[in-house]
Amino acid sequence: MLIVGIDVGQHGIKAVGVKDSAIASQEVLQSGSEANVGAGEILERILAQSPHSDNEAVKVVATGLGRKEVSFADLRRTQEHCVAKGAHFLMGGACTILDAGAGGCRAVRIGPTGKVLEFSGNSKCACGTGSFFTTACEVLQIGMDRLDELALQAEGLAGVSTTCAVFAESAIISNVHRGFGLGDICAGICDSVTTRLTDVVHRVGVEEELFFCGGVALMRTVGKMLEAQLGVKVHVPEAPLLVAALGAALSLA
Amino acid sequence: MFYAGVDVGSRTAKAIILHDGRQMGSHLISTGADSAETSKTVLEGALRDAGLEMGLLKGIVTTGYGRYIAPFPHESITEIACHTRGVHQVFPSARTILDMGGQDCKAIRLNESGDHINFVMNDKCAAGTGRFLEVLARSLDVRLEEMTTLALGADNPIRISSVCAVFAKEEALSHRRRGVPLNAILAGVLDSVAERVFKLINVVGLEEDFVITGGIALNAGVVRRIEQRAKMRALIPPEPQLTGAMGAAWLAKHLDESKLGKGGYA
Repeated sequence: MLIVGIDVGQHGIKAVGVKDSAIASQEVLQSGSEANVGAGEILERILAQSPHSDNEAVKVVATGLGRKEVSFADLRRTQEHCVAKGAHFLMGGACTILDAGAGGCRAVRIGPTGKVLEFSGNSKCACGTGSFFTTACEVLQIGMDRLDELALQAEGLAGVSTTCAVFAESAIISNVHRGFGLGDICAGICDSVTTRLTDVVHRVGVEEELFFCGGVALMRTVGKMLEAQLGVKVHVPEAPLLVAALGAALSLA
Repeated sequence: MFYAGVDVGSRTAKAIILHDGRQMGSHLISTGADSAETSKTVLEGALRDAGLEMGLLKGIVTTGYGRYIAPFPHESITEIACHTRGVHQVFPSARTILDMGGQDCKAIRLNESGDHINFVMNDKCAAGTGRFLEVLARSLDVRLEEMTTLALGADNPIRISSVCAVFAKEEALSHRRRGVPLNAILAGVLDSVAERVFKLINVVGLEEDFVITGGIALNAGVVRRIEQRAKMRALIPPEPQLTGAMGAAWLAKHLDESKLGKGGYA
């Protein structure tokens, strides 16, 4: 049996095919189209890539903010359930997971068997999410990679609001007017997001290591700042975008 | 005797000149990067409007978030005190005030003497403020002033489920892409603002007469939706954006007359 986990996020659709408890294929679709159409498209691609026979059963597990829109899903699982499954598969053992995507962030603490002990999250406010970066990038007219790079090299920090992305947008503009360097401005943006993420992690607690996934985990500056703010090691998996989709598939395996 | 009230808000700055209990002149500008400069410019504008010179002013009170750094002699008084006073002068019967500004929103309860007895304020989140409307208007490519008109006649207004302006913007755009009529989306946007601010009113409690001030009071669509939720009509001052400055000018007069001096009031 081939199990396909599909994670419908705010800015993209991610899918992982799992067969015999091993990853068979994976795909990321940056989509502007409707969730159900995009999910159908990504399923086709996964099926094309995964070795399977024609009469082999295919099951689909949907997760993410748009999971309800995947009409052909056999099962739907919450994001926290799936990141817990995915992280446990990759890490083995107890850990705290931080998943930060475009539309929300969540921290999940799991026990040695992968059982969810506690979770906390925010999907109501753009602070501490990838959307905060999207907004900031629009203001500064640079890409996310560039923002990350500049922030990583910066020595100072030009602070912005940690409570509202819209107000932060005005603060970024006034930081530009006040003559702060672009690097310091980018560092301030990363710091704002990190501060909000730290709050979420503190709510569930973290011991030795933080497993950091979701699109925001691609920002190296945020990982570094999390380490500094939390005082623990931050581990970013090889494909941070795919953890929830992987976990979705594993929930049927 | 001439008195001035200067209200340096997050988005606009307002000033009025008071003489014998009457407004002699006023001015409104966008708040620039430099709040001190802005407060000076707006006061000079109001003086010009009244045909006066700075030297004739008997007292100046500043309010709003940029109130402390005005580059002229002044007393600073909180927005809550100034708004309450500004409303009380125009509508002595007012018991509840909703002030909806560019980047904040406050609900205030006041007594028959015009003293504020309770208030609640949101200045942390753009939801339920003028900024929410600005962000949504810009993304839907309509002007702020035409939102209400363009929202008319919507048979099935959509419901914006996101509180956050950033997410609401994406939600509105995805409805647009799916071909939902513009008026249905705009009606949903106006509903969303009314819903947010009404929650603030509920925190302080609603008692008649109910007054709405601030820039959003000029948005008939939002006002009507708040009235529907409140199940009562709202009184709106002729120039709702000037309420804080008006109150500040009245407090300047009061300070001068009672000779309370620095920090003696509010």
